[in-house]
Amino acid sequence: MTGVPLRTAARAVALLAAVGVAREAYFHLVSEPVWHLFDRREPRAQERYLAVRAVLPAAGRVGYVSDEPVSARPGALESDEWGTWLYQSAQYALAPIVLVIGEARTEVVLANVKEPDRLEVVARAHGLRVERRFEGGRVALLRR
Amino acid sequence: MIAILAAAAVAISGGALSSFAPVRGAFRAALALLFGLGIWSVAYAVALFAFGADPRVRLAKDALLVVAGTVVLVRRPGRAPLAGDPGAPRSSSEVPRWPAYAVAAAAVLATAFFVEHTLRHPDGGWDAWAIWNLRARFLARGGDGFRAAFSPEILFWAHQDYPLLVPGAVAQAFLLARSESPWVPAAVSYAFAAAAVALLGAAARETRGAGWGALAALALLSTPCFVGFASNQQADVALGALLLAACALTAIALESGQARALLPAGFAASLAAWTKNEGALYLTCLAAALLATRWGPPRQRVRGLLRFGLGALPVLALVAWFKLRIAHESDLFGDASASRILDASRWGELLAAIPRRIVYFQDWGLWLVGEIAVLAILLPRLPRRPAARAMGMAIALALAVTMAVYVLQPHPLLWFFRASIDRVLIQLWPSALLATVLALAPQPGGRGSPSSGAGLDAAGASPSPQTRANDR
Repeated sequence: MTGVPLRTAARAVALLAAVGVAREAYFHLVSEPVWHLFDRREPRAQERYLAVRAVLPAAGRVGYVSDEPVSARPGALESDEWGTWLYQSAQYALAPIVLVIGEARTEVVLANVKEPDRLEVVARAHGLRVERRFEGGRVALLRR
Repeated sequence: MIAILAAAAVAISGGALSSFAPVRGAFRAALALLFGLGIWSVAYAVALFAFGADPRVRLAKDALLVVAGTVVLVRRPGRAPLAGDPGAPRSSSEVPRWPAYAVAAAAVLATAFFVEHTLRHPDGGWDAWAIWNLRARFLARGGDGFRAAFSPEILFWAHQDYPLLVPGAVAQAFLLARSESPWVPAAVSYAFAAAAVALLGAAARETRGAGWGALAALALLSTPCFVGFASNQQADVALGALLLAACALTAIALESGQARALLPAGFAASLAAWTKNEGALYLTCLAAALLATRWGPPRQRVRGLLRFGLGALPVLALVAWFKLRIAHESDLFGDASASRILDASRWGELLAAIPRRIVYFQDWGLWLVGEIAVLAILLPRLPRRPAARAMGMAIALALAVTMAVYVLQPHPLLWFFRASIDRVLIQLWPSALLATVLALAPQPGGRGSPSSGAGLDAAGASPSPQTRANDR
């Protein structure tokens, strides 16, 4: 045997390609139906930070606190990804500011909470007061 | 005007670098796109770290790329002889036409899926916005404070140690467009994915004929997670495309005797190393396979390796500087422990997880099952072809080292494996498809074909054993 005949290979590839394309089509037509593209689309995560971005410094270090724990050490994952997602989406929206987790000594501190009613508790826990709220209290600027 | 200069820098520098490869047509065009984007991003990083973020620095850098590329193109008119005549290894009646039509249909579908997914998730997948596009934003927005992108105070999930090929291209495009539209990184991702498909098809066609080229391209386009990863704007597709370029050029060198192709092969592999950390591993594995595979006498293999290394050297120097001076901490090895690698239970856990991934229908359809069936059933009955063996050895070596990294790293093993193995596989998949075609397809014989030694004669080299050894 010096090789597989092209026609034999073509039949096999046709079968595998049909299965692969069918899987892709299922995903786009059934799992995430394309006709619901615009009415079921989630807002971009960065929209949450548009207002606060306007009042933060353009660059530099800004402290970051939250009511959700962040997986901040390799090998030690928190039970869910909420806190990590909140931090990462804030960092993505606010770059080139560097958000420093747990740092409460910077001039302003960003609070980013899952539950707005926990905001005051988070601020007090770090010896800070809430200066300004955004997004219904889910995002806030804190100061000493 | 600045945007036109940047486009010219990509096109001309890519065209100049691809002129070192003894290929033509779609193969050369895809190489030119990959090399152009790659060198544009590499030059940006060098200029940024050396001279700062002033727009005039980028302008001068692009002008320099245009001038240098033009000089190379003018002074090298057709100096790289072609590897062979790929177009007519078979009579047209032997080659079924439907695969070419199927590729066109699959490309249209894949583009539609890409656009739909981009509209739904404009910032890309988690890794895209949390790592690649985040870094691009730091570079584009940071001005002279761009080094904040590598601050150790940013959460380690941003992987500050990752190299900058994709973020460098995206950041420059943000600055040129004066906009951070999500379509900018999406376009960059699409370009790499399209180049990967075109390059795979062209390389298979060049080495085995038109029918095989269409089948290879169709296989990649119909792999379910390929379009998904591309539309998620993750660097894995770019890495896969650059590794494929390195493998394809290596195959050309080994099968046609055109050792000069190893120079751009090394360059392509070094661009892969500037794309993701895994790229450095793949470069090392390909170099090791080049030396270990018996495609020529040992002295010729060493010379081939030197050419490969010479091609890789400039960008590898940048990678080394970046790792030593900017980004020397990695979450994978920061808390590495020998006890983990010797822990049999961790290896058992990993080995038990692998079969589940092979049949992971959502991402792979039946492609991995098919690949393994081919390897198990057909490969032992086929002639040993050096190019296929070299690529297969490189991929196997890369997978073996990757498995050791899984066992060594500090994250929960199964969680980390499930989160990352498909990305590792999609990086290797285009090259694995090419290696499979090279192993399965009969080598076209006759005058002018890559294996006939015609390319070798054209290059003025002495007949080398690899051309005769190809079918041993």
